[in-house]
Amino acid sequence: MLRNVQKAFVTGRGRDRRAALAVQDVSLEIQPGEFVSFIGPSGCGKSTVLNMLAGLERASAGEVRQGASPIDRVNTNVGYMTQDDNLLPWRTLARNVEFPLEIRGVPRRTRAAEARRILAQVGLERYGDYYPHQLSGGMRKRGALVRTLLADDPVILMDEPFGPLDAQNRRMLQDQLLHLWSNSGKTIVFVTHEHDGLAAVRPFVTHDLVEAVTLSDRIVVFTSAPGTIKRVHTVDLPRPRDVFRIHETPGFDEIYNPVWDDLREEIAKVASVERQAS
Amino acid sequence: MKALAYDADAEVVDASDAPASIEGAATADERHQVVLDKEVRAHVGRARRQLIQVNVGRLAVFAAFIGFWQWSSDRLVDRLFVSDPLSVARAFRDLVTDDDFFFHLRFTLSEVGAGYGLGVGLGLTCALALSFSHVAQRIFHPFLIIFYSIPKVALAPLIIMWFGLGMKSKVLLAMAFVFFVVFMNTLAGINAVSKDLVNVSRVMGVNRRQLIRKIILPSAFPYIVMSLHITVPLAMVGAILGEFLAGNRGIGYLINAASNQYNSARVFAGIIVVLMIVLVMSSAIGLVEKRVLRWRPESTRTSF
Repeated sequence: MLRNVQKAFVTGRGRDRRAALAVQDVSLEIQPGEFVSFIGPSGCGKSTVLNMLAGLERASAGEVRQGASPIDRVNTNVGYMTQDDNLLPWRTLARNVEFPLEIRGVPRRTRAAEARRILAQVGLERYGDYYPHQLSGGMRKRGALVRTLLADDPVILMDEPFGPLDAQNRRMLQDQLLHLWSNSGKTIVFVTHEHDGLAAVRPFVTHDLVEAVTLSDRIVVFTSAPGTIKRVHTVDLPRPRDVFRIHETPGFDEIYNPVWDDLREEIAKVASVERQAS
Repeated sequence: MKALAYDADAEVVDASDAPASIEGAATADERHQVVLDKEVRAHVGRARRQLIQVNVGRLAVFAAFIGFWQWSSDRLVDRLFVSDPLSVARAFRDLVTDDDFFFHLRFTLSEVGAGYGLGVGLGLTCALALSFSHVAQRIFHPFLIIFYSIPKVALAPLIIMWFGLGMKSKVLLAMAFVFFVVFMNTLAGINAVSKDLVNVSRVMGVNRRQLIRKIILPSAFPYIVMSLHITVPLAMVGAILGEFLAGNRGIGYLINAASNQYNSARVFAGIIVVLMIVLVMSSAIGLVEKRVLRWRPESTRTSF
């Protein structure tokens, strides 16, 4: 899917203008039906890679493909979620969820029924007539998730989708995501929350890493800028996985620890750069 | 959540089946219902009390103003210049019962209506046209700022020179006042549309027309509606200004003629007519706003 991809950005003005590589030599083949997570320090270009897959940004060099076709314009064969739920505030939840069907010209009745059906799968059947501002953050996120799924694209790209939620809501959404994804045959590329330099000195376990282990078939660790792939870890924990007790699954530590070592190394690099800068 | 929701505007609370007190309630559900009903009643009571306070307060301020005006006329200031409320009321009655009052009223209303409509239409169209090109926005920006900075009042003599003493020049003046505000606000609203939202929609597969109709315009709507509110009195300013300067028709002309005869009561009566027109137009737009922006949370609504 990605081969030798590079992305350069130009920063500064006038004399200070220079180009820097944000993404360097990224090559990755993602299998259909696979759940892949990107993890890495802030500014490592993992969101940029995701945006290239969505066709929202072009690679400066290299090849980005989906199947046989190169991604050289906005990629409408994927679903795309960001940190914000991006529900349309002037539409009720149900009308939001049916939106991808509406723009394809699906008749009103059919799409309303579809929206009702999928809302019921995440326990929101009673909230279809509510406007987004009347719903909690977790409910809005669930709405955004089922909207993306209802569009029925073979690939779903998620950029820190559960970022602003509290731990409890996150777990619930992870659980529902896994539930909806299993047997769907869809490919998911999932970017975890940003890690700033401070994370290296904070000794506690990062939720994002646990999230990646919980959800993924493979975890791609990015280096600090310019972002390249440091290592790809395979997560061979059996499915279905228990989101709420993933720590107790045999083999969890054997997967978690090496990923954390890789990640910590990269976060430390960012931290030392930040220290020098300040 | 639904069970806990209640309509703040509801006058009547249906509590006929529920027992009146917690002691009388048999089941937990009934006990909860008692608490809910009590809270709704308290809320309605609070809202009603506040409404009374506000209305009494408004009436008091208005009465004080009118009273002071009546008292001060010929005591503090010369009646010739400020008239007094009673004379103004009489002049107002005379003005609106004049045979040719409705002729003048119709003239002013047509100018304001046409100028407002054209200004809004042109403002929206230009803003939409520019919204697609960052380059075009940058090209036109300095010119727009220059035009915006010219006091429209200073343009009035030119416009009258070019378009004559009739209705056309007044419509154009009203339009000039309306156009820029609608244009600037709409453009600001369009530029403020969440980039994330646009990207997500594009990946979903919206085409350009759907993007404008279903994402961009509704997003910008609060900005647009605000400009629709602000520009109602501005359209009136344009029309009245034109009538002051040239021609012999319209409410502005009547006001000007009265002032030339030092008939201050009639001037005030004319001002009241203008005020009423603006208020009616504003509340019409307020009604539209309430319908269209139903989806917004209470606290962010602009009307009061």
